[in-house]
Amino acid sequence: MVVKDKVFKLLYDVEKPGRYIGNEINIVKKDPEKVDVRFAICFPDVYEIGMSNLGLKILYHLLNEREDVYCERAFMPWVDMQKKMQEEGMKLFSLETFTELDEFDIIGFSLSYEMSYTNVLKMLYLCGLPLESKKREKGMPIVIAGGPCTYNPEPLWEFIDVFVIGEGEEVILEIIDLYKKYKFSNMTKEEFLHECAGIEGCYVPSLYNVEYNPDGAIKSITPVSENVPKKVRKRIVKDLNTSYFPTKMITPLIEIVHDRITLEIFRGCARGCRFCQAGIIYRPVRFRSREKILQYAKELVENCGCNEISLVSLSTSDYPSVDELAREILKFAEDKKVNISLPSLRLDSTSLDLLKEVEKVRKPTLTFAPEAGTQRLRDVINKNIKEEDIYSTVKLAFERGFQNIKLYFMLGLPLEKDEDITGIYTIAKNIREIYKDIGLKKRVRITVSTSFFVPKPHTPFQWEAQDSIENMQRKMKLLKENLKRVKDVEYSWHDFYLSKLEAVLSRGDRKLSRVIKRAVDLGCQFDDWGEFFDFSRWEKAFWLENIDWRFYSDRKRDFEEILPWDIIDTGVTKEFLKKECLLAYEQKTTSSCFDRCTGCGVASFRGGICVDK
Amino acid sequence: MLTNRYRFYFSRDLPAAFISHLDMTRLFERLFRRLDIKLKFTQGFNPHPRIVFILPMPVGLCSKEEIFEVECEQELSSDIIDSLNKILPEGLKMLKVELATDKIQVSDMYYQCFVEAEEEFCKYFDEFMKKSPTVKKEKEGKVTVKHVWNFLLSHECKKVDGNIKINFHINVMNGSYIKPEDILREFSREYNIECRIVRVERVKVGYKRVI
Repeated sequence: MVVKDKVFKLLYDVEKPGRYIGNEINIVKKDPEKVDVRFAICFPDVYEIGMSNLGLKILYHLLNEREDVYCERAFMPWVDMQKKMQEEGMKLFSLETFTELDEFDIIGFSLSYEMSYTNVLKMLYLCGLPLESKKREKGMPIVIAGGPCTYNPEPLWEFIDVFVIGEGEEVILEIIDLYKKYKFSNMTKEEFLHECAGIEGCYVPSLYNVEYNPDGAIKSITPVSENVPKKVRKRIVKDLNTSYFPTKMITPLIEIVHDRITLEIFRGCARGCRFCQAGIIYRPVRFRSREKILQYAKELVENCGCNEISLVSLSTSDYPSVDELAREILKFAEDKKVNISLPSLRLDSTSLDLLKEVEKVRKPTLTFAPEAGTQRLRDVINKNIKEEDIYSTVKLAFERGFQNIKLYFMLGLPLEKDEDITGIYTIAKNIREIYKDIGLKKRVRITVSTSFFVPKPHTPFQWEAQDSIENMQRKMKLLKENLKRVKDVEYSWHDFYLSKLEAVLSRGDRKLSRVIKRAVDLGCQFDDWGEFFDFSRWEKAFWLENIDWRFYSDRKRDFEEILPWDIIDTGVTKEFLKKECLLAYEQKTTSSCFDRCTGCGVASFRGGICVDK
Repeated sequence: MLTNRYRFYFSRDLPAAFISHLDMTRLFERLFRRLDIKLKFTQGFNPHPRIVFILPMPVGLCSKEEIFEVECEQELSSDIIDSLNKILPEGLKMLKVELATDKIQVSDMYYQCFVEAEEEFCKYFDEFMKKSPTVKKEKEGKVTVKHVWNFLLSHECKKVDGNIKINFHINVMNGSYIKPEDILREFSREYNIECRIVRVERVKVGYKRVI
């Protein structure tokens, strides 16, 4: 029986069978016999999450533009489906042609968050492939990985043949060309990997030796030969107006997490919040022109039929005249009953006006992310948001009929004092008083959410220690006790252990690859899903490998220490990050790139606002 | 009053049969938008188009003929069926469209179910059906008991190409009916006989006009 029929037979007994049928609007159909390279894009989480990822969809369509390539997709099957597949002896399959994944030429993982690492290994198991790169011979798929997590690729170094650093639109095509040379000649896998290392943006971990000091920190990272670059520089697309963007975008049949058209209006962020990794790694800021955006928006609505289009970026208010852009889209969207959504908008009176005008289906909740409870700490993290501005916007929002306010904060930031935590309480209390003063009858709902600060690679805080679990607990309780005194306030906090594991994995080194494998063998998967996450299993995995996880999360590093991710060059210099870190200690802020160049180093890419000025 | 309410007839097979009821509604909304056909939307806080399926379709169900009705802001031309068929996902096929000038209700349905089960399945199943069985359903703590023969007009069980095929003729009373899958599950539980459903299909649906 062919794989497709076998799959369909299982679907009568699993949750959400629509995850496994493919068949979507704008799915790409090709004859696999007629292409040179079969590529499987894999997302290490369930379908509804993977299909919400814009990068995946861009690469899917980009690769399929090539006649010699057929790119298909695979997602992590939910546990019920995994069980059924195991019972029937079935391997992971693609959604386009229901081909088992070990028959593909290249398997490409999208790594968006560290908590999906166990799923990556689990998927390789489900493919029936050896986990370790060195055990996969020529004839088996080459396994590559891209996405933001690859800015510290080391924890997965053993399993991935090639990491693709940065934006994939151009480099992926170069890898395909090289792969074709490899496939149709007697080139060995080792030779292929060596040549791959010569492509800018490709990191081949097996071609580097890492030595350690007695204290466990890295002594040296050395390429195995002269042809292998000492540092791997990320790739960027210089011009978003000439780069590829699919407008005949694949559109799911079942409801997904972001069930709408996503249109990217610019890349990068000029703000430079010191905790934020995205703000560094996606630099420089590159705008897509208004003409292009309008053209794409029209085509997307025509081709996908969704009832919502979302203009996405890291900081939507920073798009020049974003209000005019939204109004122009509204002109044709309104008539087609298509709603516009503007996430990541800096909330003030202008943006509230804009939201009222363009968001025809109004979201019931307004969200603010002050991140820290006092101006002092907001200066430390360079989050340029003033308390008075929050209050005036909230007042306006209440007057316009909003009753739900959500506030996001981080606990455990560097230099945090207890006053900063009680400062969160003060903000919540003041907001409630503003509401009471207006004298509305209905009840207000204020939700305070806190996450725990996770120091990330390539940020000014990359050397910082994360709070201990005990400290996290104490701070959460302190805030909880305080917030109990304010009516109409709900408080929710992120799982301590999840934040802890994220901190460990995001700044991990090569030694963690064994731990991750142990964790998978102990049954860890879907770590990002509360019902599956079990820190005690992870602790056991660390114990079995004789590794203290605190070394990665709770330890402050010296500026001189060689960091596992020093091998990756984001364009932003280590000197800049260090300077920013020292400014944080002095509670001094840094302006945004729009005001003046901050000298981060990314101008060396000669793209975006770095050269526009 | 004359409205542009249309009645669409369509068939559904694998893989589209695994789309849920809510997702079917959203899918057709998107397809109409792609064809630039303006549907009539509800008023209010969260407007949505009025696409009404005469019978709900459980996930996994195939059908030779189903109906949905939709109200449009415009008159539809006769090529709408072809236009839809060009963009429909595999498994869905539009059959015909007509103006819905009256109201209809489902009167009865013919089902065929294919199951993988042991040799003697039909013998035990027929025995089970003779004992005037009931189907219990629990929903939000409330248990409802349906007597199978209150809804079932006839059934037939036979072996076809290694699988078991069971035909059911089911009566629908004021929109209420009994699902063949539930009968099969009840049987499986009571007789402790494993039966794996591999296909459920509505082969024919009877309608009556209501005044």
